[in-house]
Amino acid sequence: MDFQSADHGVSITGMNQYIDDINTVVLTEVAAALRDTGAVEDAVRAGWHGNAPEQFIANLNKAKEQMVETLKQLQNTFETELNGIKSSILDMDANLVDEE
Amino acid sequence: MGAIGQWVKNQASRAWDSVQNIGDKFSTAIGKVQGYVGTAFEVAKNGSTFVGLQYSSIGTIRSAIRNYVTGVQKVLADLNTKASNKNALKGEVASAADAYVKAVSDVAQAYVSALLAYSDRMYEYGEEYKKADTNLASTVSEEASALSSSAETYQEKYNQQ
Repeated sequence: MDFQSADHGVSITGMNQYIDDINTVVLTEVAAALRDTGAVEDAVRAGWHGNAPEQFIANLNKAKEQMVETLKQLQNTFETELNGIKSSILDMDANLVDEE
Repeated sequence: MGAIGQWVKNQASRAWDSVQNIGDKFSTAIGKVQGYVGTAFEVAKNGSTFVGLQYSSIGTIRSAIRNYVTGVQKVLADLNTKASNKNALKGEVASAADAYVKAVSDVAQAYVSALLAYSDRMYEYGEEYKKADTNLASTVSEEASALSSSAETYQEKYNQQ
């Protein structure tokens, strides 16, 4: 039997890949998108000059870094949930049938 | 001193009085003008050689912020398609996990939308600039009026010869 023909179960390799894929999106791609404020900064500096726009940009950058960190926490929670699912299924497999 | 000399001296005194009189009124008017008392800044706080806002840029900046937020949200939305659990889980739990991923994606997109507050802040800053511009212009105009109202021109009494 292979995993694809199962009606219930968990693939350890598949789950690890699944978590990696989610990490890639949330931790890497979203973080990169959040940090890509170049277009905003260019727009600000094109029409606004002085200390105020630089402080505005600094505030936005501070907010985005805070978001990156918060999304990491969300990702950790997510990963914990998926690992919990994996553990639950593996636990059932380990304890369903007692040795007689 | 002869009579003519004394007369000349008297006229000079009257002229000096006129100069003093107009000068005093002028000084009084200047004293009444408040003058703008701003901060102690003589250069921009960050060293910029000029400060200012182009009002027409406010819309552009807000659009840039909206596009930025939409871009991040799109990446989060892709979470549902880029991360597939078909090789990880089987059974109802797989569907539940999909729903969980969607919930994570949705809550993250909602969280990121908070950055749109910076678009609103930009609008508010623009309004502050416009208000300050109007108020400052009004203050300066009042001071100009105060000065103008004090202007007194000396008119020659005798036909020019």
